[in-house]
Amino acid sequence: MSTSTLSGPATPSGPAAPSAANGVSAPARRRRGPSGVLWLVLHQNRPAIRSVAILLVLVSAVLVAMHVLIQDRIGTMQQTSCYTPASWERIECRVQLGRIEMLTRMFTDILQPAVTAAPVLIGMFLGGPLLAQEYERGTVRLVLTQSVTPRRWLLTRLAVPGATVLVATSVLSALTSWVWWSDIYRGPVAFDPPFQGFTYPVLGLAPVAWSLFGLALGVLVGQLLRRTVTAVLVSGVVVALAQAVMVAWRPFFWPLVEEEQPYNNMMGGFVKPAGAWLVEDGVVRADGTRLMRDQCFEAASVCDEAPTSWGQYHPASHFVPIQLVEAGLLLVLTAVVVTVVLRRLTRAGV
Amino acid sequence: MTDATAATQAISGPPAIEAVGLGKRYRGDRWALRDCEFTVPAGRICGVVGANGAGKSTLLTLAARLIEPTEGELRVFGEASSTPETRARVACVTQEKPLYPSFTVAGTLRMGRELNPGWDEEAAQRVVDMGELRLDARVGSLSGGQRTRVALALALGKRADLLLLDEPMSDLDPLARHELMGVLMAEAAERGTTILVSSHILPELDGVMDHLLLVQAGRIRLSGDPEEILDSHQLLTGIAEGAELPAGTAVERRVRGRQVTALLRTGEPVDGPWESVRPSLEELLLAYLRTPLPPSATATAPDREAAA
Repeated sequence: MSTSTLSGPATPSGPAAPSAANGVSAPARRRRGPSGVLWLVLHQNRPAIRSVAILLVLVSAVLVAMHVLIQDRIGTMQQTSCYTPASWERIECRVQLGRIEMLTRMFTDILQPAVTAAPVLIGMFLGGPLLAQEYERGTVRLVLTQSVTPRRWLLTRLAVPGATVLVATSVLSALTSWVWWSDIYRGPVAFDPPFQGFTYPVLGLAPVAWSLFGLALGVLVGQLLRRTVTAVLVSGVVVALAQAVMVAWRPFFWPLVEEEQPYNNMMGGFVKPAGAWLVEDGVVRADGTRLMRDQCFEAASVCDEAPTSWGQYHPASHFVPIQLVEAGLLLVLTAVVVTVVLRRLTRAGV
Repeated sequence: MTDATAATQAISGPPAIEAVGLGKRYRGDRWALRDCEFTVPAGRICGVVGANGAGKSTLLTLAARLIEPTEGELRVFGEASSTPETRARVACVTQEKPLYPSFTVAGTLRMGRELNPGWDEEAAQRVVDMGELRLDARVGSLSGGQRTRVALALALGKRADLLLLDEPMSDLDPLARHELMGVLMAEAAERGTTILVSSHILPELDGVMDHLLLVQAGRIRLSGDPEEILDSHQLLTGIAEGAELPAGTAVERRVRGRQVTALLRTGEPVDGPWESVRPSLEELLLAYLRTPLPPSATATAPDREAAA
């Protein structure tokens, strides 16, 4: 058996074969499909891309099913005049309500935390090992002794998982935002304001920008540690910490709205508009001095006598600008991290 | 040998490798290489010899542009740092022979073709075929020797002008070693490829290399044509009694009972109650490797001896 009968990339076959038969030699050996570094990176990332695709299809199916089921039940409730809260004292309406509640709770208690954790998981399992494994196995030396420049290799090496994450999280975010808006926020029961801890990160640009940043951060951690297992664990911690820090900064991404109301003891202080994010509140005493809510706990009687309450909040209309500012900041940070990784690769030696 | 030397000198252009005041310090203030000055002309097969930890790998890694020198320069084809052109002209097999374990042999060769514009499929395929490797075998499932073969195939397929091989044969059986050495020599003969090959197995390089670099404790102790180096040394064997060795030229001197063996740095046979002969390459290298230079002498010694 001669070697030329072996199929595979080693010998011209498939699309190139006919032209080879026509006597066209070297240039005819080009195959269709990706070539160069892109071929290598796609070849390396095939399992990761496949896993992400499978997960995305599964989660999308769950979200679409959720939407269909909730809409179906809302239809039934409207037909049986069980849709208005006034009717919920009737036992048959309570049963129908229970079914919807179960679905919305699945969304708010399982799906939302899972999607919030997606950037952490992406940092851990796509970002951390990406360079850590190349360094650990020494394959970075293999690649950098080929003819390709380090810059070109690294940018391609990052672009393929980056594009995968971009597409997957865009689809995911579109679906979660749609289900949240049409079935949860405006649904019959759920009160799930957009700024809430597990709600904000699954809507709009947040999952996309955070996932890209998580990926880049994981790559940097992996490059610094050069050990796959450690990189996976540390990346998770670092991305989660970054999320926590961002939550603390988030109120200041857009000017807060400040308001005073007559103090209403029955309502327990400042009453924010629906869907708003109350950042700070307290009372204004008769002499005009302001007290924070915490200070009221120390001297409750002082606050009870106060005529006015005050609050600083973000109305629901601030959601889009705050997301834009945060996403912009994250994209800048991602670019900075990628630059650092590139510099370390080309200057620090491997 | 003189013909070959003349031929390589006739090749115009910069030397394959030229070190100028080259030094590399790793973290923790450990100098792996220091004050290295040497030239390897293009077209040579250069053996880099030295004990473990002497700095051979650092030297090859520097030449492969995987690390940067701390001081001085290591010019490859006249270029002090990596350019796209030299990148394509230099191939390297590092000591660990890293490969992607999940790739098949065919996939690994495909990678070589995708990443190197001058890829020679036949050259790579030949090396793989000689080892009777299955193309669909995963690299991770191969033995150490088989992986070495794939790594060498990848380096040869690149059709480089400079081939850097760090302990390439260490995990190959004698047959494969002989056969792959033959492939490398054929490559060098056909294309004038410069080969820099490090080894601590001395017979592996004897009769093959036409340039010798002896690395010792981070210094270049000898650099040059091995035949010329041998011509300028004498191995003395005889009875120790009474006779004084010529002062200042002894590389090594060993006394075993009344028997004395000494390696002298001189081209002329030395008269005395001993036999004075031209040493073999192995005798010469062992004598140098057995006698480390005192720390104070190392700073100046390389220049003097490297000129030999």
